[in-house]
Amino acid sequence: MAGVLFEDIFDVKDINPEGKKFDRVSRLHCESESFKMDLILDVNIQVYPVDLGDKFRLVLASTLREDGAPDEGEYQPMDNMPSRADQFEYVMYGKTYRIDEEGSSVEAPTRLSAYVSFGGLLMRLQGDANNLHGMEVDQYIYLLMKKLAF
Amino acid sequence: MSQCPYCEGLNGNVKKTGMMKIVHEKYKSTKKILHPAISEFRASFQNALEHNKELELLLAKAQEILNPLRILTLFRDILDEDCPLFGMLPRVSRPEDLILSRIVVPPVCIRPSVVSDLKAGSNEDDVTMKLTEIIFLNDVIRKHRSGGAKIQMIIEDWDFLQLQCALYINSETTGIPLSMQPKKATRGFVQRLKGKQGRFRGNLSGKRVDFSGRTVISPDPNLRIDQVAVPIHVAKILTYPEKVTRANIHFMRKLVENGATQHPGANFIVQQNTKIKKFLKYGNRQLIAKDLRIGDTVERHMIDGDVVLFNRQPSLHKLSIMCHFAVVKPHRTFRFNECVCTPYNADFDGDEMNLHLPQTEEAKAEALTLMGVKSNLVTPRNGEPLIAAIQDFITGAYLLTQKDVFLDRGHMTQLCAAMLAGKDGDMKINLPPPAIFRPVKLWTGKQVFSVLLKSHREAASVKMNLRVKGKQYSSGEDMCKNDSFVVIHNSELMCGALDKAVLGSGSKNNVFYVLYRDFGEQFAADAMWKVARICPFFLSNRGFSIGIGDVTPGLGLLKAKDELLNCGYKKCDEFIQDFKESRLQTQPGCSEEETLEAVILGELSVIRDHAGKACLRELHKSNSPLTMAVCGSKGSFINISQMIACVGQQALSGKRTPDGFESRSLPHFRKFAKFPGAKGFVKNSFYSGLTPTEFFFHTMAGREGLVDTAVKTAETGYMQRRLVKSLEDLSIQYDMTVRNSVGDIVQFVYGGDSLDPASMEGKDRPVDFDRILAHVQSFVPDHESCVLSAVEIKDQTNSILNQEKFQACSEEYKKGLRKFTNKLSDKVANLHSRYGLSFVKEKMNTEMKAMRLGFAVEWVSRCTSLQLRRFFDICHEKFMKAKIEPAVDEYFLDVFSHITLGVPRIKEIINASRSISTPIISAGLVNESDPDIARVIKGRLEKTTLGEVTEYVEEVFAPENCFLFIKLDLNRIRLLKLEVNTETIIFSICTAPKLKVKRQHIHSLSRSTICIYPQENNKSSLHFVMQTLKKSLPNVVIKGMKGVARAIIHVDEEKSQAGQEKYKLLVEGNDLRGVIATVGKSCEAWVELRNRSSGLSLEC
Repeated sequence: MAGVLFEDIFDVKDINPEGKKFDRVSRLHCESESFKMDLILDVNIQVYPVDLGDKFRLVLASTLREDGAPDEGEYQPMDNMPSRADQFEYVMYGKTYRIDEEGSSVEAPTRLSAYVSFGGLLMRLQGDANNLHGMEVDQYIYLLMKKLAF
Repeated sequence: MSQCPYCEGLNGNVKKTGMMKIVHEKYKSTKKILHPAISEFRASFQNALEHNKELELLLAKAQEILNPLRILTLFRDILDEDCPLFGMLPRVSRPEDLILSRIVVPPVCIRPSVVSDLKAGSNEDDVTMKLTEIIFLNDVIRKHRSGGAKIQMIIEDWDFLQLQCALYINSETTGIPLSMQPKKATRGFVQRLKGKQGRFRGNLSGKRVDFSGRTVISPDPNLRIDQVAVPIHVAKILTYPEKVTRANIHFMRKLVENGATQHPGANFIVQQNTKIKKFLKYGNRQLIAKDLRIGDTVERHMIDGDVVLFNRQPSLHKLSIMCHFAVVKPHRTFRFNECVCTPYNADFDGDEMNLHLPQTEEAKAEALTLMGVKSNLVTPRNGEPLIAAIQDFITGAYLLTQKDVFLDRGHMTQLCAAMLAGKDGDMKINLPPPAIFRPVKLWTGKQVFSVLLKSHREAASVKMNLRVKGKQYSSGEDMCKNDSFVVIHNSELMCGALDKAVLGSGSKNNVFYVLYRDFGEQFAADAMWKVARICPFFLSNRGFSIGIGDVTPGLGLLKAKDELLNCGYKKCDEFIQDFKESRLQTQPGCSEEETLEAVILGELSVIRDHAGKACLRELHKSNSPLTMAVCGSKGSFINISQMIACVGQQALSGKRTPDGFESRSLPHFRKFAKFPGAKGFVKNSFYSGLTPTEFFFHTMAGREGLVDTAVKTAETGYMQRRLVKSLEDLSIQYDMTVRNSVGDIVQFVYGGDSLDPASMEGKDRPVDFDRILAHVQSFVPDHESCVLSAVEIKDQTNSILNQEKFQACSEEYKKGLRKFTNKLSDKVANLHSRYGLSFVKEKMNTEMKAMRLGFAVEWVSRCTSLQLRRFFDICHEKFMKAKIEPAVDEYFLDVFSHITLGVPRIKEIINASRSISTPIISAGLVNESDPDIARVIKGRLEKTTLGEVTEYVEEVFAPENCFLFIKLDLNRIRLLKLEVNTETIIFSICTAPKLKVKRQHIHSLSRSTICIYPQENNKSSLHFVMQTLKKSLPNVVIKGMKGVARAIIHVDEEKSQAGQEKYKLLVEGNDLRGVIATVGKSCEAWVELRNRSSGLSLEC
């Protein structure tokens, strides 16, 4: 699929480990199955409740269009074209604003963290640098989520 | 008694006796043998004595009176060569010039005579009246002299004349005998010149002005920050003389037609050729309008967009008077955006402000560039922003940017539309895509703020960047659990709730400050105005109020508070019990009572703190006061806990409430009551209500606060006036030196670095390199280029810094830049080696380059050639801006007005007081690590009295004699490491003043006992002597210096290393010489006073 930057299946390992600070937003700590990525993600639980132990598919894409052509960058409220979002339950739009070497250690010297803000709802994706290939600072991306049945 | 070297005349004391009488005690002598001159003088009374025997008694008192005439002759006799001794140059002035032999009479314009309408004749000025009186008195004296009146009469007349002449110059002459007091207070010349209303301050330095107005102020967040709303009433009176030109003649005609009563009108016109001023309230305005010619002047009403000066007293700094654009509005108050409250220190509880309308185009232009609100966003003191969001704007922004604020499309667009007003009314706003697409489309509050920062006509070029910790920041940078790490990336708010640290004044990490520095004042002002529009709008839709429910404590809190109080009170009771039984362990340098106060105070502040914490634990996060305290818009946690839990200890001059009655603070308590409630501890909250005694204590503390503010304003005001008077003429000359008006150099280079304090972005530096680099990295993404290697960074830095334009920057600045880039290149080198990126530029082909671009690692500490160049460009530009320009007056003005803490100390410095109130000497020790030695030295310095080291003093009455028996407390002496023994103590007693004990009457029986045998004398009995001796013995100083009440052993934190504590002594007192001498000379060489700084503590 064109325009996809990252895709994996995550397990919710913890919810709000530092205490619930906001009524409508929870912070999920997740781990990916295939790439062993660590994910911290703020989710609006009012519209999309998530439970501990849930499993979901997560896709980061630079566009929602099926053909992978880039977005115009401007919001079209009347746009009813079929899009990739139709297959997902929860879709957010935001900007990658920081890529840092945070999370790297002696054992895993090539880990990186990518920070994405979806209008204040933060995502931190941490893992091997190669898995974050294609992520750029100042790049607008979509996050698509769908829970998986067991 | 001395003699004149020239004439050998006697010279005695000269004294002032009574009003305007100076006596020369020339003939006073206590010697048996009188000086020939004195005996001659006395002999001259021989004849008089024969006729009046009573004179004999007074003869010894007879002295010479120095009347003005006598003094004039004396002064005349002073030789020219002696004049320099008085600081006089004989060719310029001589001593006799000090005596007026004729009086100045000013012309009549100084003392106008007013023709009275009511009665015949005229009313004369005070000065004229006094002059007639003086002339009249002269006539009287002349008449008396020619008529042969009594000598007393003439002397009396003469004295009266003298007095009238003095009153003529200074009508407030003191020491006038009651009989001669003038009946009516007049104004002398001194009174005309002196004081605030006097000629200098009232008429020359300051004048009454026209085209000004004053009224009550009120807030209006809809106005831009550089606007002020002026009532129509005011606008119709304040006029501007506008020249009629080809461009404005139609408008001017319309104004003339409207006349004086309708608002956009005009009050007068002045025709160019005839110079006749026509009032436009009456008459045929249509005709006048038709006759209007180019070149005429129309005194038109104030209209929208006029440049006005706005001022609030006290005008303590240059920001107290600023330039706004007028907006004419209905109603009767001046209104302005609340963001501008801070520089004026204004609130809306009834404050009034003044408004002035400049009358020429030049004045308008000058006011706008120098005093414009937008040009004064930062204070000249240190460059911190002064005009920034306050109160509700901060609360609103905080609540809007919370993480869980979600808005549907309707709300989102409504909020965005709130900033479409005024000149931005037709602006196009790009609605960003929603943060959540599915399951429903929702925008977040942070997106609103991003829209706010991005929506202006030059949106593409203004991209601000900021990374800063908020007030609630915990840890983990961006991932802070309280969402209090603010990141703004290319004008988009990425994370963090905005609070006072980011929006408020007094911080250089302020959003508006960054906009101001990086993109200019207009963008900062616009952003501030948009915040002022959106935040109240959001807040009023969301609702934000405070009620009794917000300050009602829950059951849990009440229980916790009771426990705290019980526990704390019990501890205090124990302390008091210990104190009563003298079991209380005293603290260093404190008496038992002081120790008790200190421990109780400590215990009580613990109660309040814990109550506050319990309070915060219990409160729901939706609690309004809590929200305000958290985001910093108003109030503190202590205020909240005072409302809900416990008001706490009331302090009067830093201590618990003192005893206003005998041995107690209020008659409601037992005498000597020391328990918390009796000494001003308020255990109730404002919610639960204060008991009568608590209320009284609270008012006492409140009153003290009020008095303090009042006193401090008066004191600082006068101090500032004196300070400014001495510094007002300083300016920077074209050779970059700071000089005063006569050209004396004050500083060779302004501030040592020639940098304007207002342009300091970093801490005492003109540029915050970290911030600028981060900004450039985001602002110039430079996607296509490859990152630089560590070596390349260093090379490029060197080549850029060697460019010609960097010659203008100081070496220190360049060194700082080099150091910064070196750090950057080290970081990059480390990073690249770790992630295995090799850099051999030449060998890289385009294909490899293209591939490399996809690497996420590239974005870590990304620094391309373009970015580096841009970074240096900005650093250069900012440095050049910060360099101070010549002929800029130095603004010292507001430096002192804000220091209220150290007012007493500053007063001492300015007054150059000899004896300062809290002197502290810090004395270093040669052997710094040994606490025992420190104690010995302390013993040598500190004043120790006999009473402190004796167990008891007893009177012993034996059959043969009686004596005082002193038992020394050897244990205590050893503990205190005092270097005393019976011999030194006996010596101290013998030399003690007023005791009058002789050495032979003191015996020492052992190492710890001393007997004193009091001696009867002719003034008092043996018993009495013994009693007084017994009373005064404990106060005999046996060791240490008199002026040193306390010396404290202090652990020197600066020098201490791990496990090795270093000590020094802090000595209370200003006997620096004594301290140096005692310690340095007294004994072995291991002691010396090293730090001779007589450091002065600021808190008094």
